Amino acid sequence: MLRNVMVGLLAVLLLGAAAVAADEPVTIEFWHAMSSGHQPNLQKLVDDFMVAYPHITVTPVYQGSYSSLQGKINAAVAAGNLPAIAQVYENWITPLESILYPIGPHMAPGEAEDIIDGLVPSNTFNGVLTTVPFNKSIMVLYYNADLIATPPATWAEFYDVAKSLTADLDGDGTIDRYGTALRPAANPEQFLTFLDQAGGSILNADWTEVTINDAPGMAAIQFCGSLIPYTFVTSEYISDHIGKIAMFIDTSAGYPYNLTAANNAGFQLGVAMLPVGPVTQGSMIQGTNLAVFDVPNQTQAQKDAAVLLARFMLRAENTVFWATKSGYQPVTKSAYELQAWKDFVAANPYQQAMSAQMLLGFSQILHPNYGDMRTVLSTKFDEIMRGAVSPLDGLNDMAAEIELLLEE
Amino acid sequence: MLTRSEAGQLARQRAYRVLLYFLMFLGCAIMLLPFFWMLTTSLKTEAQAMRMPPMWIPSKLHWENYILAWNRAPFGRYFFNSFFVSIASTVGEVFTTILAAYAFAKMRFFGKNALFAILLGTMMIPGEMLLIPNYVTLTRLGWLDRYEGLIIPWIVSVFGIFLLRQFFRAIPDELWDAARIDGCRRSRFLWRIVVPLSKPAIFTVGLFKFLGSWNAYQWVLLMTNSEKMRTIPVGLATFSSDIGTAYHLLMAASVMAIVPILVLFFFTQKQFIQGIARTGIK
Amino acid sequence: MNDAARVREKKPRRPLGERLRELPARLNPVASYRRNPTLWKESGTAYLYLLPALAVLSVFVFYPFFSAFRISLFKWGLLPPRPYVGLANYQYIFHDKYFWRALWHTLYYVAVTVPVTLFLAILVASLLNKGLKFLSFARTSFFLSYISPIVAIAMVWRWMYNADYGLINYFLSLLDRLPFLELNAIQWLNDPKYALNAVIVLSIWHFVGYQAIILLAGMQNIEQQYYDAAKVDGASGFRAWWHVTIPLLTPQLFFVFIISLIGSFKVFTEVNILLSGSGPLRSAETIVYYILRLSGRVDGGTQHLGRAAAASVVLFGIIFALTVFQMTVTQRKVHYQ
Repeated sequence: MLRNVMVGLLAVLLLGAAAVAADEPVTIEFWHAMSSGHQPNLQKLVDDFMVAYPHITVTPVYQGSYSSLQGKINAAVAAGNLPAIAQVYENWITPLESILYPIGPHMAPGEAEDIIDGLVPSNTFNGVLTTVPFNKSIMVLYYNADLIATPPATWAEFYDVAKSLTADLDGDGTIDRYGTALRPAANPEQFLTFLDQAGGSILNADWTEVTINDAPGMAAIQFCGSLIPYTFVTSEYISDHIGKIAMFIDTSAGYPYNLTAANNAGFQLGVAMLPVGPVTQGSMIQGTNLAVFDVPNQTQAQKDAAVLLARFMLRAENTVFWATKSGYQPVTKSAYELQAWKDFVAANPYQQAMSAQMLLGFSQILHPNYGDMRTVLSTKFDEIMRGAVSPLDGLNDMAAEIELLLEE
Repeated sequence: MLTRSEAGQLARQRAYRVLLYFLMFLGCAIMLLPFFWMLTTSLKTEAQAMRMPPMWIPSKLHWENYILAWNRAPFGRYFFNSFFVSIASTVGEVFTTILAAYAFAKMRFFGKNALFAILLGTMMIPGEMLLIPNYVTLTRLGWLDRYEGLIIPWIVSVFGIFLLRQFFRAIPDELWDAARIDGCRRSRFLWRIVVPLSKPAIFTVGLFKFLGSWNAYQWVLLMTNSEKMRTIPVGLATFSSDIGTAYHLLMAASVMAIVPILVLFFFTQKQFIQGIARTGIK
Repeated sequence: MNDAARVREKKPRRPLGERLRELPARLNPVASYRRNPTLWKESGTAYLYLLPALAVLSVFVFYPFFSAFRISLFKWGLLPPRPYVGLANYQYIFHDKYFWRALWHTLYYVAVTVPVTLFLAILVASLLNKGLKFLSFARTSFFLSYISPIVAIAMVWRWMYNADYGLINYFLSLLDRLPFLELNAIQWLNDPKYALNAVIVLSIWHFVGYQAIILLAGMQNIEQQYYDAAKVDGASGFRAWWHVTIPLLTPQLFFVFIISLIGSFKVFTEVNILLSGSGPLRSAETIVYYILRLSGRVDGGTQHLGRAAAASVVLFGIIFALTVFQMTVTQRKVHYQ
């Protein structure tokens, strides 16, 4: 009896202490790389958060470009003064796995499940949802709507359209209009998208074997190879040459720039879902996540506050607000059901394809050496598309070099 | 009366001068092209700024870009910081550089050539490699997000020491010999004779420093966390993202950032030009 | 003998035996210092003068440099463990074909950029030294090319190089109309043969004004008496320029040469901004680009901080050797008026 009372008292005391602790004012820094065009919207979300949690003060700190933010995070790791929460790319934090504070275990039931399927693996370390997606974009098909009435729906149609629209309009022996364009050196994600659509992957599920040159990979690279004569292969921005390209695959976040370029070139820009591949209609998602750091200079209260902020950003109304203002895509399933989002899509028809594509998206693998694998992919994909090596030989080179990276 | 051959020579000389003027203005035009582009782009709409081929003169001048750009970041504070940090590091640099350059130019000491080579060597390391250790050092010193961290690491410039050494070396040794016989101490000789003689050269070193400090970006971004410590280049960076750049606003802000430098150069170029060349003594 | 001739005259070479006798003292400076105690005192004063500069450099340059050197011997992760690997990082680099390519690109870039820029800068400075009008305006123009933001510069050049609408291809198409020439539009930024050259042209353009201003200043400082003396000898025009201007410009030429040599080896920004990457088939990847790739800062590569540090040390070694060589070769030819 006495023991029960004691336990009860202790519980009350602890809860009380927890309640007091929860109300204790706490300040956290949020490092990000959002340009000044996005900053007011980010600030609005942070302000809303601080209204909802009056004891928490969040200071968003702009840290320059993504590359600068990465450099700053690395420096802060060395100096021991990381912030509570930061915007991060997957391959920045695979080396930092041991100092990440997992967000998933502190979520309410259903919250984690609400995240779009394609985004879960790239935020999950050893089976634990550790980071959460923040600003995400997806590869979609942009096309010259004056030339293409119905965008191609399959690989075969894509090939036919690309072939039929490639033309030497003034008859001087050089091509003036290309069916499509690729930026392989900067965007190996274009190849990875084809690979996924063919049912392939870089590695097998437990990362012990290279599978990129299995049958699906061969199908993907041969499809790319068949497009070479009709493809404007460039290392420049596609929007710099948009006038002579009939259709191209590019990130949804580039929409405003592609639209301006298309307007300047005097044609109507269309946006569609990617053509369906032999196996899927997948598309690669890119963009950053939010990570909370488990480091000595952050108190438990600060980490708790950071987790609350990350969860707040995931709320349907907030991810929708962010998406409508920034041009990135909402990251939870419930967001797509929200009336505010439906209204936005209705007012901006190009969003229809992006939304639908997003729900079929996939993300990069969390292998610690993914960065170098990506370098291999971009280098070889560039060589293949520029005809420096045959598609199949290039694919086998890729596989061999990735094999070496696996052994490292 | 001119003889025929004299007249011919005069005509040739005139033609030669016309050619020289033509070359000079051609050169100027080529050099000014990006500056001109920056000016006109700062007055375009976003769509006009991206047009290819470019639109050189916008149909309507969008002066409001300057207001929009100014309001995108706390530029008032950034300008103050840029001025303060640039002036402070310039003053500090001039002081340390005079001392060091004098030692290299006019004194005999143990390990002089080796030390000079090492100093030059410091310019050969990619700056990126030094950033993380320096961040750790500043953290330990407690200089993160403080003016100390923005100024003190930059009050030495090997470039300046090298440049000033080239000038000091041209001052005749006889001057020091004479001064020494008169009982003049070395430090007095340096500050009372060498420095006044080399004023323009020192001014030059200072201008380069000011310019470098004014444009410093990576360091400022890394070593500060709050708006109240940041400088203009950080403000310029916020117009770009990984997807694209708001060129019309970026160029408006860039014009505002360049104007102070331009004013400085315009009003001091006589000093500056002489500074690079004057060896102090005629 | 007149002044102009004296400037050009070589210092007489002393007999070999005499120079050999000096060799031990040169190799072991302590010996000469031991004989001359005032040298020690002067050394002390000199180091006092150097103290502020050396103090700051020690903390913010020497220390991080040595830590980079140390890091190059480890498999350095952001977090421990950081196993010692000896020279494995260097081995990796020397076995990486992209390192050798980057080195080749860099050497090519330096070998073209440095002399061409210097040569053009001398011409520009000579032109501006002709006592023409509007000199202030011209100087300011050339200075502006140096201080214009690199983003604005890259934008303008991206347009000049644009294969379809660019100015350069437009001029090529005009030349193409000539009957005896066969020229096609060139994809300047998108052709592995031309991308690095496109960067070189931009760099030359960017730095020629800055170098010309330094050289012009040097020229304006040359005293008239040297030219008068040259005239007496019947040297004017090109010969005066060659025998008076150039020799007396050597301190500035020397300075500009060394500075641009060092700077050119570290080229990165111009490449990255003009080509938005390392160019088609990585054809413009320079050493510093390669280093940043190894450290994961460009193109999203994996972070190999040990390898990046090793590559930096190698780059340092190359520039250092070249600079020391360069200085010993040219030092004798520099005339301080």
